[in-house]
Amino acid sequence: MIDTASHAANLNDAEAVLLDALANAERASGAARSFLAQAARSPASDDVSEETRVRTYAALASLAVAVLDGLVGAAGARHQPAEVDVVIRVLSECPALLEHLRADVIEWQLTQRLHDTLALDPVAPPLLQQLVAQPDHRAAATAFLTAQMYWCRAHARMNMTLGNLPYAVQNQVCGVIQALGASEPDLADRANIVCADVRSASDPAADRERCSAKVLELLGLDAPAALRVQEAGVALFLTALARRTMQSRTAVAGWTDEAQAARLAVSLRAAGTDPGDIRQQLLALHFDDALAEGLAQIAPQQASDMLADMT
Amino acid sequence: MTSLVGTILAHASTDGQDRLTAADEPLAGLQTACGGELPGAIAIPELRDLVRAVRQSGLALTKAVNAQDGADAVVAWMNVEPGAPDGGCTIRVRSWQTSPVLADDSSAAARRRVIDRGMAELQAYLDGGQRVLAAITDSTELANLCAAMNAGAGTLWTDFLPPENVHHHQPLHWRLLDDTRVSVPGSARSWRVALLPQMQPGHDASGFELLLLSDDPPQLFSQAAPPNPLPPRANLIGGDLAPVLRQPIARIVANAETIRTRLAGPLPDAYADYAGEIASAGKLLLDLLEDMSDLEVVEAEGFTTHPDSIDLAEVAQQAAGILGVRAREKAIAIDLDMPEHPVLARAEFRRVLQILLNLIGNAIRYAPASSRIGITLRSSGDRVGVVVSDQGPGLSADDQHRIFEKFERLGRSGDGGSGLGLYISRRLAEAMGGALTVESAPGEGAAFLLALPPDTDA
Repeated sequence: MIDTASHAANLNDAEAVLLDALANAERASGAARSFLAQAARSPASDDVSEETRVRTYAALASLAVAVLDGLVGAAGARHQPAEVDVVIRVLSECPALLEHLRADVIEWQLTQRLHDTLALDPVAPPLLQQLVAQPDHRAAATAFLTAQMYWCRAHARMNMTLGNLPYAVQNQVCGVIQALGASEPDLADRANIVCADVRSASDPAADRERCSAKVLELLGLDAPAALRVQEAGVALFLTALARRTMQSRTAVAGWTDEAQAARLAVSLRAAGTDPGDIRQQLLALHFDDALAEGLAQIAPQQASDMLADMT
Repeated sequence: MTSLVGTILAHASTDGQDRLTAADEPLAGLQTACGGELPGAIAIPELRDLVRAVRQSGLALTKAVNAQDGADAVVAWMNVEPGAPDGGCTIRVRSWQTSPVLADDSSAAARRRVIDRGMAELQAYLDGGQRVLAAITDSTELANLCAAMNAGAGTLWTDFLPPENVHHHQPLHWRLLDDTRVSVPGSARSWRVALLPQMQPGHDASGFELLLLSDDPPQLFSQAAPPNPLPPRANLIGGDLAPVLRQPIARIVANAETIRTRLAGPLPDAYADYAGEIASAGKLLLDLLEDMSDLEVVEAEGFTTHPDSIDLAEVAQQAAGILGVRAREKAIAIDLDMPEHPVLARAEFRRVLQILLNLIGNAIRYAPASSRIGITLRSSGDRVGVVVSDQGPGLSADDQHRIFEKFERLGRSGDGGSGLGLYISRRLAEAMGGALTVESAPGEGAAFLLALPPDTDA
């Protein structure tokens, strides 16, 4: 005989535990946004990990130099430190850029960590190697592999360019450049030219996130391997999880931070992942798997509702 | 290191003769890598001892089993229970951890690899059979080559970049092709290829990152002026002997690893250990060769660097980021004090990176666990610089003088160092018009100062 009262109580307990964990994660996420904004403006901040701070600032500085190259001089020209500093400050006020850089840094750190711990190939994980070997999927898989090589190189060298940004973020940065140039008529014309150059040089088909989405469409959006990070690799895993749970990829990348483990677990459940597989993913990502205990009692739709309530 | 405590990663079973009758991956792969068969006698020595003890005692045991799988050390927690139907045992693999054997980011070879990644003018990705999957470059000089490689995906990389002085049927083992001189069609520059393998524990390389590098700066070859005559060399190590020695030593290391991991067949433990020692010695010899090559370069008459305007803060960030993982393994914090503005120097980027990797790497190697390494930038009129300070044992006044001498180890041994790193770093600093000095006192750590000329044109 099923004890329905006990079952309901357990379900409520499990949901309460997860909701509490999600609320904590939300607070941490808000804090992360604010400290990154501060970290970008004040490189001496001690509030973030050394690597996150250095990489975020380095990415912003690279982009600032790239913007100045376009605005006031040819590539390779030396700019006044004060000018670079002004552009860094302006760029750090662009929420979409800051969110993207934060997610990018977290994704790169995870990619490196799983390479070190699981020997997971940062460019061509097992699932991608399988797809490259299939004639029907080779073109899309190779396009993603190429985009992933550029991405890894930019992070390994800590040298971001406007071309490294996703198409949507590029547009936002162009808005910032045009606003920056609006202060002087000469600069305004120049800013428009720079933005036109960036847009014309961008190839949406080579955008890493679009390439990863294309690979997953060919694979089948419900393919279980895409949600196993040891098989899919970090990049495809994040895209698959974002697509299946209707969340932004930038947000999902943030869920891989240890403080966001509850969101990751609930997102995986919302994506229809079996609780046993969720436990494997949490362990692979070096989290405590205790959160997986309650997930067996949460249906995928219920998990989706919990995520929606938090947004 | 990965830890999967709490899960059962694999099941296996043995019979009454301690033969492995069935096993899931990754245990099955390790059994094969250790020279065993499935089914067959257990080829993993510590697991064999554990199973025998359980079968004879009738008591279940759980313990960590250590083994070596190629270039990786494996530590696995295994739960072994007696009472299997045929008098054998059941095995449950509870965790599986791998880490590179002889991992040491501070070794000359590892340092060179980091610099190679930063300086590569073309990168390609290869499958496990060394066939090209894709290539990328920003160099206009290499654009045609890159396009050809992408158009010819699925072809061996050696078809696009023929190795010089290698006439063996391709592909050779990757260790023998790593750091090989290659010809680039249409280019007069001297090129070499570095191959970085991607390896899953218990498996062969699943793919490779190929880096195409040149020691000749690109801008020199865009000018019409005839090349400068080569300066006379002081000795033969780097120019003549290093390329010749590197390949046979790499072959010795590859063969010793094959023997050690029992890929060539079962072998008594003692002989496998001997082979491991040969491989370790060979790797140290390769590191020494790299240092000797650098030594010859910096001691060559007329040695010059290629100064450019560089931001020392950017170089320090890269160096701290590169060695951050290794520092964290010793719970050492790298405290990088970023200036508000760029600190511009007139120097060669890769040489400064090489020096900082040496200084920070030494600090990590000799400083105590859970200590701090400080990196600060300085700017004072006619000099800009970077200070790398540690909380290590410090140096006496006499040692501060001796530490920059050639082959000076200050009595240390067995840590893989050659005693050339600081000597080379000081020579590089001097070649760029700068200096490398140290301030220290016994028990109070050490602070190394790299001073360079500022970029006054900026």
